[in-house]
Amino acid sequence: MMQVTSIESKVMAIVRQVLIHEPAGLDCTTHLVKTGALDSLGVLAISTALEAQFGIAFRELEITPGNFASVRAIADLTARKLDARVE
Amino acid sequence: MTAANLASLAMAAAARHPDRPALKLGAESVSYAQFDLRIRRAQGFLRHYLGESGARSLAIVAFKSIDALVLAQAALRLGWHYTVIDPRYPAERIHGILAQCRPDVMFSDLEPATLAAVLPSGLDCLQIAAAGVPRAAGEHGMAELAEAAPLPPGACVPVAGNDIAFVFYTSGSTGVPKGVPITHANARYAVDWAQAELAFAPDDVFLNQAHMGFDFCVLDYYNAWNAGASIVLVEEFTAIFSAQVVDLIVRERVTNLWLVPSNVIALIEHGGLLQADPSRLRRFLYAGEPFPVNYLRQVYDWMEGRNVYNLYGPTETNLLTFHRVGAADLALPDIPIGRALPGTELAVIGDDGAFARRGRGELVASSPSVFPGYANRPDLNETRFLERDGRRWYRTGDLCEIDDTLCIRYLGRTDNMVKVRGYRIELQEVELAFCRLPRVRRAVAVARRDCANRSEEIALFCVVDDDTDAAQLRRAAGGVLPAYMVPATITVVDAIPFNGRGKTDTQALLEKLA
Repeated sequence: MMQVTSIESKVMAIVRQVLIHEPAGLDCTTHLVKTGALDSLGVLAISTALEAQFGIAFRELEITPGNFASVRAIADLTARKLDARVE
Repeated sequence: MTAANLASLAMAAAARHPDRPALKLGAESVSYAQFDLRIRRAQGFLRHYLGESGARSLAIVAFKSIDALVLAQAALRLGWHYTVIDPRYPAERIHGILAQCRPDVMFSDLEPATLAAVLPSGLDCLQIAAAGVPRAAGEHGMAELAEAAPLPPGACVPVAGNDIAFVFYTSGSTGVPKGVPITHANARYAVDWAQAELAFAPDDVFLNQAHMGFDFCVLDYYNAWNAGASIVLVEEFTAIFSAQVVDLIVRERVTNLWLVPSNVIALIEHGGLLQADPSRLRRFLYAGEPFPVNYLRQVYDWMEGRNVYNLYGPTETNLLTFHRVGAADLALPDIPIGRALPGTELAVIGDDGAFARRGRGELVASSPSVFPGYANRPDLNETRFLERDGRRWYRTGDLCEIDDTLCIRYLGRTDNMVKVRGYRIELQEVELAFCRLPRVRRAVAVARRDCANRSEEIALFCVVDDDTDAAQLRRAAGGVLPAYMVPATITVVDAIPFNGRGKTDTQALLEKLA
């Protein structure tokens, strides 16, 4: 099973490419939605990129403010999807 | 007259049916009586601190909240006006707007460091911090408002119809946002028309998707309160997650939708809107940009043809025209914006400068819904208004055609303003922002249809001094422009091409994207 930290760095790389602007001191816990760094197109771009990179598929109701609040939250969701796929 | 005050709408609803639900946001919901009491406490608080000070204006720099709406209504009841600024805007832009509107009271959910950065120097302004954010030194908290002695029910300062109720700030070609003041009478005219045409009832449930600083909110809020209906407020965080919004529409049994077409398309494509049960929806209203007919047809079929309306009016004019979409429209290349609201006069100014009631040209409007003029911009007012037939007309900048039945089609813009996902953007403002970035020598912004032909988007071309790349430019621009103004594509080019007449060759630029 892939380490969450390694997923986090992959998610961070994707997120960096789609942010409208990079919030000061961006790290895994920075709130992406509150800082206005992420918009609806960014959310779609991230979910599409993760699906392609990890071979997972998000359900519409998993694309939530909570699951996309930060890089860590997105990585956690991705890890859960990967685990579910293995089982 | 108290009745002229827009704040009297929610007040009257509270007297008529105090126990009906007024607002719902996430887990929080309030009845009209609770809403009214909170407004009266806020009035008490504001009067206590600023009663004799001559204060007149409130700025809200915060995400959507019931507290923000409470304060806005308290301000109106005191005879003040309010402005709402998106807290996600870059600090420099918030600062610029606050420096223009110079509020007497500011309600914000900004972190103390950001707050210090956006406040204009020398501004004497009572600060109120939103619930749940750390308070800066000297800021009041919402707990104080919640405990303030309320003013008695019905306490509402009479206003004249031409008093300002709120001010919207929109993109300005000089790089400074333009203040668009809307009077009580302007808004009331649109609200009264909508009530007469659309027959809102107390059991209606409005979905308020737009940010509070966006003109769509006028109808959402004041029409709902006028009818004693309830409003489901969509938080900004939720609004970007389409499936969540569709889920809210279903779960909260929403009956009234009023949306921007590109937002509707996102709800269809990514939220499964058309798979939801439409039977509770009574009306589907859209405005802000043309609706691609292939998508509108799907919405029309989903609504089984009932009450689908195209509404039209720039921010400066609230509403000017409406069109009830019919099956025959769906065979047209585009949907008309329809006919003038009763009491609104429309005409066009042709290429030859001639004023005509029919034909093609820039749409001009003389209507109770037209704003009184830009704040502190006599230069703009000089060019945007004209006198004719004993009336004052506002030049919309929209190129339109009025046919013999007085039905109007929208053809485009006469200037450099574009609509991206319903937001108005002056291309020069985007260009100026890029030109001010370090190492950018030239910047040209071009509007084009996006690849799926759903909305307009901005393509930006830059000539830079060194090996600065597009990603760096995008990040830097995001620090000075609101998200919706950041171009969809940024391309670094060696030079800006010119056409035979010495003008920027936008076609040659766009070909670089192919």
